[in-house]
Amino acid sequence: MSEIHPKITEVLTATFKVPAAEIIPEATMDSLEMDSLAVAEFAVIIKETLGIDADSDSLLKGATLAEITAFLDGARTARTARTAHAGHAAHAGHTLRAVHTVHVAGTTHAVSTASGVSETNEAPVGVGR
Amino acid sequence: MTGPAIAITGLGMITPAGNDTDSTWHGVCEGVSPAHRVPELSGCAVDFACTVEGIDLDAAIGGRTAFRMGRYVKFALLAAREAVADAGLDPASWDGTRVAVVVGTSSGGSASLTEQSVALDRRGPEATSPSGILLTIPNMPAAEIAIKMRATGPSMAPCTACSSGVTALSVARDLLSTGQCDIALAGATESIVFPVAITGFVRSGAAALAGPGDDPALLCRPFASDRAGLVLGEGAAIMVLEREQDARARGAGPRALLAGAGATTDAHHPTSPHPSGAVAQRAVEVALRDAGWQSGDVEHVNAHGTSTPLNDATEAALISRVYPHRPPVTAPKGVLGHCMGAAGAIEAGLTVLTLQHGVVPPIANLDAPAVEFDIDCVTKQPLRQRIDRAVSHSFGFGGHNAVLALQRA
Repeated sequence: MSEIHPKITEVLTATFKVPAAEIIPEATMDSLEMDSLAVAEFAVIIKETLGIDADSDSLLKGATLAEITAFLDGARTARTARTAHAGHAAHAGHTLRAVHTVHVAGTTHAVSTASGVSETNEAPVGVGR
Repeated sequence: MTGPAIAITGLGMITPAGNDTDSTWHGVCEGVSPAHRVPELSGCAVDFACTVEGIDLDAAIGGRTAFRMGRYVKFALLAAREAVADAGLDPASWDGTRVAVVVGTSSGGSASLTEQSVALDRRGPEATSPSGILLTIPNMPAAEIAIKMRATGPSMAPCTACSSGVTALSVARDLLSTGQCDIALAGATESIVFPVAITGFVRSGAAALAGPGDDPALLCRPFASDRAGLVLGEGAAIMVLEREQDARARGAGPRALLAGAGATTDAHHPTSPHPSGAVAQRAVEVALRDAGWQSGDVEHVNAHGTSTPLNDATEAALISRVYPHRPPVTAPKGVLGHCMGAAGAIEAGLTVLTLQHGVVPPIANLDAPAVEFDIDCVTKQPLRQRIDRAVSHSFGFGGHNAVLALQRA
């Protein structure tokens, strides 16, 4: 069983009031009832506190907490490496970025696609009107 | 009264005096203000206020959605839950299509808007909250209550500054009278204790200033000769309104009846009341006429009483003109501070409790009204006296005058 990044546990319990007992490695944002607005908020807090850009709500929603943990650990490692070898790791740490969808007035726009994943966010909960 | 009788069957409050209706009532009856220095206001010209304390709002809200709610939304939702339970209603089983939600606010989420502005300015767009708009817009208390309570009838957020709560109750009354709903959750909420707001009140000259060594709890003195401005408060009050006939048919005993409402607008100046008080007086007269009362029928006045020099002078003159029989007057802002948009709803709620319990709370920090005010203020101790008919005054910035006539059930 893999560990969960302590920041994930902290943010889920403190900000989103997810009971600690539900925070298990195989849980996903969907299974934790985190809608796309909550996931977007989660991504901002991760960015603000860890400095890691994880603004992909589709993969965050589908990913398990173990996978998100691996991404955060990888991003941190990559960033450390980037610091050590400045200018070398141009796109390291961005493997999580898939299709970033933004829902505006009921329409869906694919904002960026950096990997081959073409999954769209099926639940238009969040920015709607 | 032309329309059907309207019953107040449920009441919920969260205020600086207490986190529910009973504790608020006891706190207001004790006549002691909880105003205190607030760490978040440190460095401001006024660094004190009356605040809601001793409650973990997110834990009280429960579930996983509190992150998207501003403090003003949380206040309203908690008060609404208390009101609905108090009315003996259950959102799980009611016909939500017939339930309206009318919850006013003056400043909505201006505190969150300020936080988001700072984040944008200092750290850029990616540092701002995706919930930033939801934390800001004034309709979200009504919307979140509707979501949580499956209320799919009309909903809205009246905004008439310090009279927003009375406006909301008045609009809800009309929705019931015209058959647009069978149950209305109505009231108001405000969370405005943050540096930008208090600084604005200081700069406008409305706020009471503390000298060195002054106790903030003694500064709000409605109708006193040495009154020196308002003290900021916060909170919410929500009522459940139903047509009296419907309430009685389901076996619910009303706390009180909403007998009449009146509203006028000074159309004079944004912050100064019209010196004649004539337009505000007309709001009182409209409410009394709506209730089918003569002014001599009024046995108690729950005054707007902000402790500002201008409001209290204009209002005291109005009270002595309209009610020359000198009914007992109270002004809850002495205890609670000025809860702004929520004040009118909180004070209407306190008036309901006065009718129910036969008790008029005293005005805090007042020995006697200024000699030029010919009004009978309740001071020091609660007045125990059966009251059948009472009015609650609210006069908002912008000149929004709103008055309720409330009757013992």
